[in-house]
Amino acid sequence: MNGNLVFMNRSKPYEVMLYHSREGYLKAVLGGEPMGRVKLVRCFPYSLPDRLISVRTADTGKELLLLPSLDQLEEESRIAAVMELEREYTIPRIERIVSIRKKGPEWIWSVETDYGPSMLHMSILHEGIHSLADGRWIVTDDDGRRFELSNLDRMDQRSRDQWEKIG
Amino acid sequence: MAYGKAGRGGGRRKAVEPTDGERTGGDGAAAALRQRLADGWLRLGADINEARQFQRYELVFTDREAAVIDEQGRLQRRFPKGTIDEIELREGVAGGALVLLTRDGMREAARFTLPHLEAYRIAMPRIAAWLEEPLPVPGGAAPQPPAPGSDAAGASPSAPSGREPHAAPQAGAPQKLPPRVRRGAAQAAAPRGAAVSAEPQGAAEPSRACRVCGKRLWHRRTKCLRCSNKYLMVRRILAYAQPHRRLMIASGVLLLFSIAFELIPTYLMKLLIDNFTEGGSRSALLWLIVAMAAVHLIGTGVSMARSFIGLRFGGRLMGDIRKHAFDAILKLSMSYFDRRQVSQFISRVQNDTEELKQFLTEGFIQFLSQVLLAVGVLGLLFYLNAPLTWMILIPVPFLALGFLWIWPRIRILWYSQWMSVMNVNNVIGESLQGIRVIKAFAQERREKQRFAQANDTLVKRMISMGNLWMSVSPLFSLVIAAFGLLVWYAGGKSVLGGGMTLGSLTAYASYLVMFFGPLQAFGASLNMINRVMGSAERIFELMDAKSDTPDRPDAVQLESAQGEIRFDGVRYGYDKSRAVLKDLNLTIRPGEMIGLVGPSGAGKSTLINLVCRFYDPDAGSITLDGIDLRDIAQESLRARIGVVLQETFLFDGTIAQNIAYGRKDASPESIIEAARTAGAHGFICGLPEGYETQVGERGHRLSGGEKQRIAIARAVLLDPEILILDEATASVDTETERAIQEALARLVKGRTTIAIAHRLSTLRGADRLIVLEQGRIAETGTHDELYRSKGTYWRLVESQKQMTESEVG
Repeated sequence: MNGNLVFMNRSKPYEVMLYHSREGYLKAVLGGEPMGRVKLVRCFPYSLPDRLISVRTADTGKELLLLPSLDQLEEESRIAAVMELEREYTIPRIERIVSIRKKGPEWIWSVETDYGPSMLHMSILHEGIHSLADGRWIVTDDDGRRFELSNLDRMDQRSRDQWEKIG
Repeated sequence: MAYGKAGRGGGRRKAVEPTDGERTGGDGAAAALRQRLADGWLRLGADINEARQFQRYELVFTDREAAVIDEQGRLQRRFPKGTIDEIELREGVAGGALVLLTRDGMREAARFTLPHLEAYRIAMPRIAAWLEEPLPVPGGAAPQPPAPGSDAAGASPSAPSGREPHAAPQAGAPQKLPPRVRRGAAQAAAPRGAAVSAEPQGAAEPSRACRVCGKRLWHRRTKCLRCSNKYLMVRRILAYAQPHRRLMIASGVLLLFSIAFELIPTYLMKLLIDNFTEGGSRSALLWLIVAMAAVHLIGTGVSMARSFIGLRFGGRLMGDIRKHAFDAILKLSMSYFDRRQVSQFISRVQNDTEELKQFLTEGFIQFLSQVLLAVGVLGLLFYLNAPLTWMILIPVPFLALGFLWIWPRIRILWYSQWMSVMNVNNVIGESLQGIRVIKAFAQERREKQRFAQANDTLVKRMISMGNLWMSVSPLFSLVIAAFGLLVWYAGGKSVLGGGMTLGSLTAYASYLVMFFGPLQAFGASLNMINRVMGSAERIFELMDAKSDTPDRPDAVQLESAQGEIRFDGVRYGYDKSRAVLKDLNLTIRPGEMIGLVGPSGAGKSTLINLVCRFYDPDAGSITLDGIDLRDIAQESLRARIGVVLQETFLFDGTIAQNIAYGRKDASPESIIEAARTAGAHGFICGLPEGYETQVGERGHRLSGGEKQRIAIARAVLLDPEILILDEATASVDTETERAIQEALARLVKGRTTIAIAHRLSTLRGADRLIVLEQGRIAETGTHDELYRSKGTYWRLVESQKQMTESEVG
């Protein structure tokens, strides 16, 4: 398969097969042609985690395909892709803000995430919060761990109150 | 990175879950295992368990196995060394995993967030060496674990918590990796520096006259300060309160109440004392005390209500003024900014608006309350003892004269202090903007001296200001004290003579303090009013500044454009005495690509600045599709023009937001398409957060070429009819230039394009080259035509060839 193939407007499922090899590597078969080990890249990892997925060769990083949506894959391929993406991206999503306190020079967040409860320590608060879009932020703690913060309006009152203190 | 085993021994066991005995340490084998784990040669921390939940644990390597141990020291999983074929560190976005390839397939030994990653990276060569070593023979001497202390990972137990410092990467020689190492596709982008360039701006200001008095305006002023009417200024400041008049009226009413409540207690005190001295009743005493308590209580309530209203009122006012000031800044033309230091505007928008707010919320009310209080007190003083009151009014004219003397001096001092503050801010702003140049030229000491100078001046001016106040204020106090003594003497005589009660004298003395208090406070108010006037002047100067390129009321909204640009006798100079472009006549056809060539200062950038209508020509006209640019609404004109400059400015935000800067409603798909056309999609996908990578001042550092491609993507997405490329490939290497050239070639198709490039080879694809020399068109033609004619273009090409050869040679 030559060059970058882009299928932006296809409605029927792709002739793409994604699967994990015995070694745990994600491999792809495109149009019947085995492509070897591949890597999935989310073009918009926070706002569109299941859309616009770039399928690239693992060794050279060359783009083989840009998947508009994981839903357009066959079920088995989709499961393999979801699993691979989960392995690739370690960005917990904050589901509840228990507290945001200032202790000495440090801000301490106690949060519940989809990875379980966690504490974030931040020395410079405003430098650790990046807005991605309206109502969506990336919070980076002093250790460099990244957390996604979104859907505040769907969180409980306590979470919203805590965010209001600094937001 | 992955490490494989060279030779595979027999008798392998698969990865095993610990038995109950191993978990609890209940038998001999378990005790031996526990001992081995305690002696493990490497311990690495991790914080995400198999269920993808946060849980701290350790991955411990012994001579026989790798084992996962939880925070309580319990064994969770064990991977006998004999079962492991390969070990791979898989780095993902914001985390990673250590993966073991066993006979039964892939097993995740540890998963972790970013803080742990570096320790794993450092440990990988040691782990690989460990995997290569043969298993210890039972009963034989245990093999030496990989040399401790040679790197950080092997030396210490890893952090059980992400809060502890990371293992530092080994300095010096790179780690030698075993031959069977495979590296993953993920590559860390090396930090790259960005070139800094500064454009000289030596524009002179046109002389202007005040429309009112006809006199010449002061240097760098757009408004005549001689004619600035303070009354009008105050009215203009108060106009900001107009939309919030209800709050202001409420505040005023409460103010009257609070003044009344301030005056009443003293009068009640007079009644109280008279009640004692003139044999009053117990019930009158009780009622007076109750009345005083009630007055204090209500007074406190009124004061609180006023504060709440003041806060709301002030916040809104501040927002309004700041918004107007910022709107005014964005409305100004480029030439306004060419002549000014940009950092001063931050102070104007922030500090000066704060001053105005202070005046409107507190200062004005305070001033009014002082006036009302003084009038009220004066009335009561006359009521209590008219002859004495006439006497104490004697110093008032002298105090007034004192204020009149001090007023202009304070104004000047305030202004000079503000200038000093601005100077300090400018030095800081300039130093931060040029920090690379300062460091590159080792000019830190010079900059420190420059700052120290500015700072010293500020300190001196603050001291001068303080000195003036310190010398005047005690004099006022002395005068007031002297008249206080006079009252006690004259009033005392009156009490002894039976002309006045003791209560009246006490109340009189208290009211006198209340009368002189506001008079003294007028000084502080005066001070504040001076400050506010200065702030208001600066803010209004900004708001009143006229744009040099205003939109006409009947300006045409350009919905689309063919792209024909015609220069007709255009003359322009930043300094009006020195024209940069002289009598320029040029027609660019729709869809034509023009390359602008010429030595520095020939007017190339000025020409494109005029096309963008950053400036208007001093003579002649520029038309787009036959319409004079001055007749086109600027926003609609610039929406038709895409610009790629040498220095690309990226705003704080994601790459996607930067690409979609000109089209907020762009879909993610169209953003990707634009990036693909610009040749940027590849490197963007290589970034961990893809199109949602933060860039700009606080974000990811991109190389000059990468920034440039984002700028091109921005232009592609805008899909403009006219394209301007100003040295778009000047700051990148040849390889990147080629990539950008390819992207540009796709971009210019079907668009009227004006390109400037120093490297003449990059303009070969142009339909026509215009050679500018000293503001005039010297030659026109294609590359071949101009080269053959052996004129200016030929000289430029030849000198560039020679330079390239001498560089290569």
